[in-house]
Amino acid sequence: MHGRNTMLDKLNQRDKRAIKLGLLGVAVVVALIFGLDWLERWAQVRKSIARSRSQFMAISLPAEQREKLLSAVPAFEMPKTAEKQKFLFRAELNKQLKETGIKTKPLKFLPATKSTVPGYKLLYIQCSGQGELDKILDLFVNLKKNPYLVAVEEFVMKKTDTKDEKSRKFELDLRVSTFVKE
Amino acid sequence: MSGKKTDVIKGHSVIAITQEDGVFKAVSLSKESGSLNLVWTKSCAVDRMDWPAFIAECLPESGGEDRKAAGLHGTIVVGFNSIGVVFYRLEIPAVREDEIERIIRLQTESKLPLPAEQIEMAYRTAAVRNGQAKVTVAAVKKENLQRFVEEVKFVEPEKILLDSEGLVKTWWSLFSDGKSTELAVVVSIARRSARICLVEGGRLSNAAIIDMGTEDLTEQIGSPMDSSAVDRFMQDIRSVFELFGFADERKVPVYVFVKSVSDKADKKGVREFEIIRNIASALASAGFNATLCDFRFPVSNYLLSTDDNECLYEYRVPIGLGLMSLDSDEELALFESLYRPASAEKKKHWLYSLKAACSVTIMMLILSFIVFYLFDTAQLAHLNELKTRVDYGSLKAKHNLMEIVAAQRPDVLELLSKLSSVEANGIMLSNIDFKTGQAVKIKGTAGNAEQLYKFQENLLADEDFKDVKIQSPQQDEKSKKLNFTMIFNYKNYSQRRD
Repeated sequence: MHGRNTMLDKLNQRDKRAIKLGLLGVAVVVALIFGLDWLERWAQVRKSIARSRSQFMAISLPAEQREKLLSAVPAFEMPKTAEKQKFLFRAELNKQLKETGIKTKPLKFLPATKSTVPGYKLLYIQCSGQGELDKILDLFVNLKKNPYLVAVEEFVMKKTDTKDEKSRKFELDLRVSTFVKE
Repeated sequence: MSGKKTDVIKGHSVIAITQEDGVFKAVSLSKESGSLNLVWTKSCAVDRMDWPAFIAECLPESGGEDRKAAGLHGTIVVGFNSIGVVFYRLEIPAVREDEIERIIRLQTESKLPLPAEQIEMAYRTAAVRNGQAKVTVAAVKKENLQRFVEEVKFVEPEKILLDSEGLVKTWWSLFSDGKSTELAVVVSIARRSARICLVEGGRLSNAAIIDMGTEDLTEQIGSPMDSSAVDRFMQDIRSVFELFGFADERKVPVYVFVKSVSDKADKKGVREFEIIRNIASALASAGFNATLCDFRFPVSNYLLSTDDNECLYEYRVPIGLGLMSLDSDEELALFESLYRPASAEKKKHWLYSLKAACSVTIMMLILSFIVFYLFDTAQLAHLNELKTRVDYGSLKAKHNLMEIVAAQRPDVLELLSKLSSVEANGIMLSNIDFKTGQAVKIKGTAGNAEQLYKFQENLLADEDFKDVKIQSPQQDEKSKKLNFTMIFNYKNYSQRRD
């Protein structure tokens, strides 16, 4: 310690300034070498964040749009193969018909058709029955909650007794669709 | 301008330098265990030397580090000649320190002989009495101060003080008891001028200079005093008293400095002594309460030991300035904004230095880079974890499919509720036939054709119903009602989806 102090003491201001500038230069060079590498890595990190964010943004809608989507499709399950989807869709539909109290004939599957969505076909179920108008309306409310339903493709409501103006009983023919994997 | 007490300089020794009556004068005072010593004195005529030369004479190796090397560790103070300094005595309400300055500026600016920006001011407040504070304001042309600073700054004086303050300090230290003299006037007559200082509470509160000294009061050494000159002198003294605001001069004690005369004194010294004594007598005759202050017999017990008492008179101004420095008296800081001693610079906190500011900035910059980098890294890790946890691919596919379903799914309930709300009087619907990709068909009965057309019109009023057409209306013979079939397109569900 003493020796070092003595050496430093021997240096004049000019030498000391030169040493300081030298050390500063070395520090700048080291900072550039490691700093540039680090900055490059940081830039990569920021790019990855931007990419991930844009991916998430694609599926995260603004609140208003999300609300609209969920009011139209409150429940949805990804389509399975035809065998599985048939079973699941029919079971859920039967359950909903029972819950609303509409008496129906056995549900009938109709042949699948091409859909506008690649990789999926549309499978249909035909349903015929009778019920009060209130119950039919309840059914339409509940149908939305069927996670396998794509749409009500067809429905025919026919008053059972046209002469009785007060009668609220209707015959219902319904055709609903679901996606199945091709 | 400031009334604050500047940084207290409490050195053990001080060198005070002044220029008065065409002579540079310097003294060195030291204070050790309460004992005050006049170490040395130096003087030189102004026409032989300038400030730098005289200071160099006093300090053979003056300036900066060399001063220390020369063993001159004491403080240096320099006296500024009070000629040209204007004093104002004000009474202001006792307010906060920051408001005092504003009030003083307002009160004095209109009285200043020059525009305010050309004037430098300093003030000093006395004790507050009855809610009023007495303030002494000194004002002087800034240019004069700047010129003086340029002359003396190389010696790095700790303070530049008004020489009148030195005179008052000398009087206060050697000739007052420090208590009874609340208000006094000190008269110091030099060869070519006389200085009259008003003292309040031991501190200078006003000063004036008369351009007459001992040499103007007599034609030549040995000749009698010039009576007309004495009259003029007395008249000037009265004017100064008026300036000080005294209507009755007898009430204020006047102290006249007089040179000590020993046996060794030369004729010139004796004559000077006699002139001042005569002036004092003239003052007494004119009704002034005048007292001689003989430097051989200081009345105060202020301990100032020197081998030669006569020099106390010669060096009364620098001695006073030196005492002010040793006692850390509050001076009228006229030079505060124009001159900052090197020692004050050193006292500045290290944080205020440019180097420290740059270092802190760089450190903060690096730190913020690191924090942002860590934040981004953590955010990326979180997003990646989310991706693996929620199976982003299937989530996206599900989302897309839901959007397609939402677009294709007709809102049956909405259609039924609209038909129900539009239904006009006398219309009974019995059949609704909806099939995607086809027009909606409804059947029912109407009381008459008018009701039917009204129903059609109501449907058309809703923009969701398009191409509303009535097909084959037939009247039932029994009920006389009109059976009808109506077709229409509802929203885009009647269009084919391919």
